[in-house]
Amino acid sequence: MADDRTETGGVQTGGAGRQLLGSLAAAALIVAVAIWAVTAKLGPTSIAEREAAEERAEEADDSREEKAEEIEEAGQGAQAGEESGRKRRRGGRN
Amino acid sequence: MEDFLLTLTRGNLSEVKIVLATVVALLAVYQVALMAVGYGKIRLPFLDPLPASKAHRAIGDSIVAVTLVVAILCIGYFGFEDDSAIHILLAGALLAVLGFKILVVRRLHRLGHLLPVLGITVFLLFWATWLSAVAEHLF
Repeated sequence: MADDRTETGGVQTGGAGRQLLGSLAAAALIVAVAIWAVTAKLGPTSIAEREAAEERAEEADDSREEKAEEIEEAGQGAQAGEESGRKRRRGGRN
Repeated sequence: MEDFLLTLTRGNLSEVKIVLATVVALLAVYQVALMAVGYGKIRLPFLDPLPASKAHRAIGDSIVAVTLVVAILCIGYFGFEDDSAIHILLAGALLAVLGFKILVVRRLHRLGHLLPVLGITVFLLFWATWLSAVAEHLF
């Protein structure tokens, strides 16, 4: 069986060398699977883009709420104006 | 620095960090398994203690390099934010214990009996640090 040189220049049996290589290959496999699984989980859209999109959606919600409040306030103001006008007209008749 | 790191990762700094940190966390599990074989706690017909220990050392060197890259990406881009206090604390502890373990392996041989405890501590700190920052993006 062929001998393998160790890092320190010593000699180790081929079996041990193969075991070492096998262990390193297993580590490489773990790395490959981890990269594949994580990138598949993260998807094609970057986190920064996703966060920016969420921020834009929140801003749009806020501005929609603000507009709805403004419309509501304007409606209440118009109603109040009409009522006071009616009262004034009624007062004029009396 | 931030621009450089963003250019280096093509604007995907968080993703690169998540991938590298996950790779390191998984390799940490493998490292514990290798040393269980290395110390003879687990006997496998296809792996002897010596090659297991040598593989542990080689993979450990790679893990340290990748961990430093992740630390540089993290500190260089995100800095020390107040709302990441736990993550910063865990990562700091990890780097300190990892540094001390390397010192024991390479220089302080008389403290070699501490290596199993240091190894388990490093393993737990790797996973705690990973959970404190990366898990929220994956689950």
